[in-house]
Order: sequence, then C-alpha cells, then structure tokens
Amino acid sequence: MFSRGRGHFTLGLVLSGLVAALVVGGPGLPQSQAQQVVNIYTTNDPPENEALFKELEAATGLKVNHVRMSSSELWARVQAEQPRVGADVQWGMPNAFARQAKKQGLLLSYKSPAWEGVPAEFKDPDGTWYGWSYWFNAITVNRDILAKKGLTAPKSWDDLLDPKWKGEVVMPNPGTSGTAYLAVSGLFQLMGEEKGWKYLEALDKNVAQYTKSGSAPAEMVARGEYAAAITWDQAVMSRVQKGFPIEFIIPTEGTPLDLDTIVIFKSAKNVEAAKKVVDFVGSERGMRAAAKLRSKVTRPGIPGLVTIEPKLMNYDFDWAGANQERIMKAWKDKFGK
Amino acid sequence: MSDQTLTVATTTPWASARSRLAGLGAEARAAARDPAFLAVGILLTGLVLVFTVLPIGTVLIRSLQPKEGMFTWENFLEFFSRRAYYRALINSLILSTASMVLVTTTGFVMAYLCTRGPRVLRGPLTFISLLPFVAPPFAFSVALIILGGRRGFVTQLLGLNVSIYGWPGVLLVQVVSFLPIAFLLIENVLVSLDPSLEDAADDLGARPERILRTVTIPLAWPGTLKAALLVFILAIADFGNPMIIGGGMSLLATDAYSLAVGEQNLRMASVLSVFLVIPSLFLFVIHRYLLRETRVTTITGNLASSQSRRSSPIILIPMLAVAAVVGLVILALFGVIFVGAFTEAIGVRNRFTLAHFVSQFGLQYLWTSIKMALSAGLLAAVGGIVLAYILERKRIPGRGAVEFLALLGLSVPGTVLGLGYLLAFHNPPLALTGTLLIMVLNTGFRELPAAMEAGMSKLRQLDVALEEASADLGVGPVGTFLKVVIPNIGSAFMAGLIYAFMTGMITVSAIAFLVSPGANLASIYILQLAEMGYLGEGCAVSVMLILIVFICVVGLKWIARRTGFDIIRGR
Repeated sequence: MFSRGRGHFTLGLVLSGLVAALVVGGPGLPQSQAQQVVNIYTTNDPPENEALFKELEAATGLKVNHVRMSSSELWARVQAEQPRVGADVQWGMPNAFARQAKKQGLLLSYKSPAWEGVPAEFKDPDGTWYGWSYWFNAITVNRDILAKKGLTAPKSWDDLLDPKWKGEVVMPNPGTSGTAYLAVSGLFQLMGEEKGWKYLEALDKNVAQYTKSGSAPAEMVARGEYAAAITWDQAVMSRVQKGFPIEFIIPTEGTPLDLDTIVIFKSAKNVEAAKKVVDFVGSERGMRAAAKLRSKVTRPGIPGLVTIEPKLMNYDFDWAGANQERIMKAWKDKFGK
Repeated sequence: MSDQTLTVATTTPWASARSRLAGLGAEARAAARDPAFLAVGILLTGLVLVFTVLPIGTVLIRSLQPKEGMFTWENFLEFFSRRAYYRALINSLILSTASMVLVTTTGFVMAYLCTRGPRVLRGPLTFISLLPFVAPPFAFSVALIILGGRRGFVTQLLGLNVSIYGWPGVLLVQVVSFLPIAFLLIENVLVSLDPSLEDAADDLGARPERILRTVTIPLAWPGTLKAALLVFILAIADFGNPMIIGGGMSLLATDAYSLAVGEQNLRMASVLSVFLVIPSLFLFVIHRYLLRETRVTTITGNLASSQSRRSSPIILIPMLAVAAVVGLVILALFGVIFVGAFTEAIGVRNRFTLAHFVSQFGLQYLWTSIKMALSAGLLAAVGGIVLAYILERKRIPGRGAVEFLALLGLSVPGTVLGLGYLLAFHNPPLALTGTLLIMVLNTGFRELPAAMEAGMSKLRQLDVALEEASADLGVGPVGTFLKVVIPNIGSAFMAGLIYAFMTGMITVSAIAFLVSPGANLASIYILQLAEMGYLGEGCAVSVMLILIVFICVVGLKWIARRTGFDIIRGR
C-alpha cells in the first residue's frame, strides 16, 4: 500500500519534471529553438494556410503562429485589442477593412521593395496595405441533386428566389463572414438598399442555413447536403478541381469583387519578421504560391486559376465599410434564428 | 406549538452564533499552530479567488455596466427587449430540460438493464454506455453530420428528408455525450439497492410494471435526480455540439461566444453569461448540498448484490429496444469517426487515404494541447490535493466557503469562465491574454475541483489515527503530510492528474475565448474544421484525441484496480 502510493507520487513527480521541461522548452516543436517568430491573423482557409505558411517558412526561415477566423470576427478582435493588437500581421483582410484600419492609425507604413512590379492600384500609396489577390462572390450548385430533383441551375441572383429552391440554399452569415457581407453589400449597391432588403427577405424563405464561414456553403453543396450555395470563387474552384460534381456560376447581374490585402499592425512586436512576410507575399515566389490557390493574383504575368473574365460590378469599398455595422445589426434582427 | 416555535426562533440563532464563534476561535487557534499549512491554505484560497472568483465576478459586474463606471439594469432591459437575445435563454432552457429528461431516461434504462437485465448483456451494455466517455463530445456532432446529414448514410438509407441541424441533432448528440455520467450515477444507486425489496413485492404478487413504478424508481429516485440535475447543468453549458450541429440556433453558451468573439459585444455577452450562471449555480447547490445522500441506505449488513434479481420480460423487452437503438447509434457514430478519418470525402468519394492525418496544423495543435493539458493537469492535481488535505484535516475557519468557491470552477459553465478570463486578464496588472499560460490557468482552475474532490474522498477513507500517530512520534505537520499522507493518497493525486489532463485535452467552451497565435488547441481546431465543412480532417484529429483519452482511461482503470480508487465513478 505504502510503496504503491509512493510509486504513484514518484511517477507524478517525474511527470511534473517532464511538464516543466516542455513548458520551458519553448512554444513549438523541439526544433524551433532560436527561430524568429511571426504572429499572423488570417482569414484564409485552413488548406490555403497550410500551403502558404509552408512556403513562407521555407523561404524566410520564420516560424509562423497563427489564428484563423472569419473576417468580421477578426475585425472585431482587432478593434477590441487595439492599440495592442495580438498579432504582427494580418494576411487576408477585406480591402474595406484595411482602408478603415489605416484611417484609425492601426497600420505600419512599410514601402516594400518586393512589391515594385505590382501595379499601384493594388497598393496603398503610403504602404500600409498591399493587395495580393482578388476574390468575388459566386454561386454554386450540385449537379447530382439538380438532376435528381429536375432543377435547372440558376443564372442570376434573381433565379435563387424561385420557390423551387426552398430549403436548398445555403449562404454564410453576414454577421461573421466577409464573403456574405461582400454579397449583401454588393446586392445593396446593385439594386439599392430598399430593394436589397426585399431580396434578402425573399431569399430567406429558401435559405436552409446561414453558416459562420464563407467557404462552408461550398463544402456543403460539394458533399451534396444542399443543392445551391452563395459563396466565393475559390471555395468553388478548388472543389471543382477535386472532382466534386458542382458548378461555378457568376450571376448575370454581375458580382462584387474584393481585393484581399495584407497589413502590418503598428503595434507589431516582431517588425522585422512582419516585413519579411510582406516581402514574401509580394515576391514572385509568394505570388506563384498564392496563384495555385486563388483565382487571380495582383502581380502581372502570373496566371491564377480563373482565366475567364467574370462580370464584375462596380463595388464601392468605402460605402461597404461605412455601413457594415448598421447592416449587420439590422440583418441579425431580421434573420437571426 | 406556536410558543415553542417562538422560543426556538428567539434563542437558537444567538446560541448557535455564540457557539459557532467559539468554534471559530478554537479553529483559528488550532490553525495557528500549523503556520505552514495556514500559509499554503491562504495562498491557495488567494489563487482560487483570483483565478476562479474574480473572472466570474468581472462578468457579473460587466453585465450591470452599460458604460464604464455606470451601474444600472439597462443591459438587462435591452436583453429582454430584443428577441435575438432573449430567444437564446428560452431555447437554452427548453433544450436543457429536454436533454435532461432524455438522458436521464436513457441512463436509467441502461443502468436498469445492467443491474437487472439478462446477465450476458450486462458487460456489453456497460461498455456501450461508458464508451462515449472517451470521445471529445463534439466529435459525435461531426460524425452525426456524416451519418444523418441530408446526404448521410442513414438519411439516404431510410429515405428521410429531415434536417439534422438544429434541435434534433443537438439533442441526439447530447444524449450520447452525457449518457456515461447519467449511467454511472444511476447504476451506482441501482447496484446498492437491495433487490430483496423488489423480490418481496414480487412475492406479494405485484406486477413487474408496478414493482418498477412503486419500488425501484422511488428507491432510485435520489440518485436519478442527482443525475438529472447534473445533465441539465452539462446541457446548458454545452458549447461544442451546438456550435457544430446547431445550424445557427440561438443558445446562451454559443451566443455569448459569438457576441464576445464575433462582435466584441462584451457587455451583452456578459448578460447572457449571467443567465447561464443562475440556473447552473442554483441546480448545483441543490445537487451538492440538498441531495447529499446518493446511496439509498438499505440496512442489511452485507452489500446488496444485484445478481439475485432479474426483471421480467414485460419490462425488459421495451428497455432492450431502447438500449438497442442507443447502442447502435453510439457504435455507428464511433465507426463513422474512424472510417471518416481514413476516407477521402466520406459519402462522396469513398477511397482510403491517410491525407487527413498529415495535416501540419493538426499535429502542431495536438502538441500544444498536450503541453497545455499536462501543465493544467499538474496545477489542478497539486492544488486540488493540497487544498483537499487542508480542508479535510486542518480546522481552518471558513473552509466550507473555500470549498464552495473552488467548486465554482466546476459548476459554472465554461463559457462564463472563458469570457471572465478575457475580461479580467486583458489589461495590467495581469495582462495574460495572448499567452498559453492563460489557457493553463483557466483549465487548471476549472479542473482543480475534481482533483480536490478526489483527494477529499480518499482522505475520508484514510484513518486520521495514522497522522495522529505520526504527530505523537514527534514528526512535524509538514513531515507527516509528506511521509504519511502523500504515500496514501498518491492514487488520488495520479487519478486527479490524469483526469484533469484528459478533460483538458477535449475542453472547448472556455478555451475558445482565449485562442491566440501560438496558443491554438486541437479541440478548438476540430470545431473550426467542422464549422468549415472539413469533416475528414475533423475526424482525423478526433481519432487522435480519442486515442489519447482512451490511454488516460486505461491508466485510470489501472489505478482503480491497483488501489481501489476510481475517480470516474467517484469512489
């Protein structure tokens, strides 16, 4: 009895030592002792992060720590944390947010030499934000379900209002997802706000579920849970490539386009590392890595995944940013479950 | 009669207050003779105050502050004026009540079958009832989407056209997740319930259904009620399942998270948290202080054995039907987690793959989880055992209060403690947000009560004469603790450590508020993967967590077999 109890106690002590060693031994796997660390906030999807961070770590020797969230969630987080933001860099930020963050004085100005070949329209003249790729809203449908139910694919935003889609449409929640907010504010700009709300009300009758993330609807349609989704281009394209029976649809009315940006926060603790990240993203190597994942990147001469020219609408970033909070709140009151 | 009441009413409080004061004085003097333990006791109490009580208090205060430095009910008025807010309260109460009824019923059926059913089935049914214990609860939600989603195996097989997202999914998953705890508590009662009472009713000619209704259930009632209350507390605090399979339904725990993390509306998140705390704490107090007796005392000398009793087919057949359904669901969910982990896109492209396991993030986060859970487990075990010893053996004044405060970590929903940590430890003097340490502290102090309880129950079994003998032989209090007490409660320490580690590996509700670059955990990663629809990867990380928890459970069983101390069963 005694020796047994003592045995457990000794075992406990050995474990304690092990824990102490682990905790003191640094944050990463044992090999990461003296590595330079960079903390990144990102809205990119997990598979994108996996590929991009691997490339970034290989190119720069940095060790990346990151948090992945939906864009509105991250925006709220940055707003709450400022002036001491909990990351050095945000890789993946809707342009409207980047412009607002610049106005608030949250961003570090850095003129990166690596971005020289990228056209000026994709960069802030003061070097606070850099646009690395663009993305737009898209509709997707599952061919198998369409065939089974005898439905034809929608061509336009308006087609989704047809009662035959009842319970078959998934879209992200504009309260959390930048994808959804891009669609909602794009529709408002396209048809005027009053008509826009009417559209959303009619659409709500067909919507089966509002998801938190902008890519989730594409995954659900790919798996055949629902027939149609409102999502973004690459969420669809990557699954088309994987061979899922889904289709890529750009609504005939046009679709809003956003520039995805990267920024360094003024409060960054690892400024040198953060600059290396921005350099990498703008570099030939970084852009080529991104081009494998995105429809279009901003460095000329590197083709993205989409070669067709989608019908894009004229999206007003400043209007979108200025009205976001109000629209989100109104949306929640109307459609929150 | 009324005279007597009056006398009692006028004299008792004074007399009892005086004697209690005198008692406190004596206790204080006794404690003063043990300065080392008094100091440790004060230190631990201080830590509990800072890391358990302060965060909860901060949430309560924040809920009453529409603006800094202003105290009104304004936030609560706003809560009741917007349907988007108060709907969460209504939904949570309905869900938890429904879950409580379903889980308790299922738990009773399984426990009844395992003590009074066909002997060959007792082993397998016990195994199945306890099996969900080893999986992180939200893993079942992932599995349920694969099985019962609109294109799930079962849905297609039966040609159903129902959506599993929302109420049905959350309820089903909660039944599976909370079954083990309900089963253990109820089985505990049914085992100790003397079957001769039921036999007597049988001999007197009562029908089986009547025996169940008038003898078995009433006798098992206290334990069953305890199980029910616990399930309600667990259900209202449940975060991971509604997050994955709730389909956006409004519930207190998840909405408080969305408000805090998604909108940084900490004020309203605090109000929702208050509505989480009130019912949980209320039921916890009933559970712990009013229903103290778990076992029904059947004074017969020898321990009642369950083997003599076998119920009749009229009762057993419907129960077996329920058990069969529950058992099938549990096995199917487990099966799907394992199959899903090794399949490219389950249900769509069923090809074998190991790709889901090579994800760099999965392994990285698993490693962070292990570090976090081990540190937290150690904190919980050391703190819990020392506190248990001081509370149980040293007559320190106010120990009941200290015990209650420490138990808050266990009884208050994780969401509240997550939010509380975010509010209390963001700014100096204790600016801990953004570190792994804050997760360790959070999980450590939430698990400390379990280790403390384990230590206390073990100490109650240990005769105090041993320590008195040591003291009589001239060994000091610290020496006695190290040389006599520790060797004897080592099993409780190890059990507390493993248990806290295991729970730390699968916790999500509080930790979700505290993620930061460098402090990302495997359990949270599953939530994210599931939310984005990456079910294969979610299954793979779940499988890794299941294996770790399984090893822990085997370790706990081993301790239980060698030392007779079973922390899972609480005895």
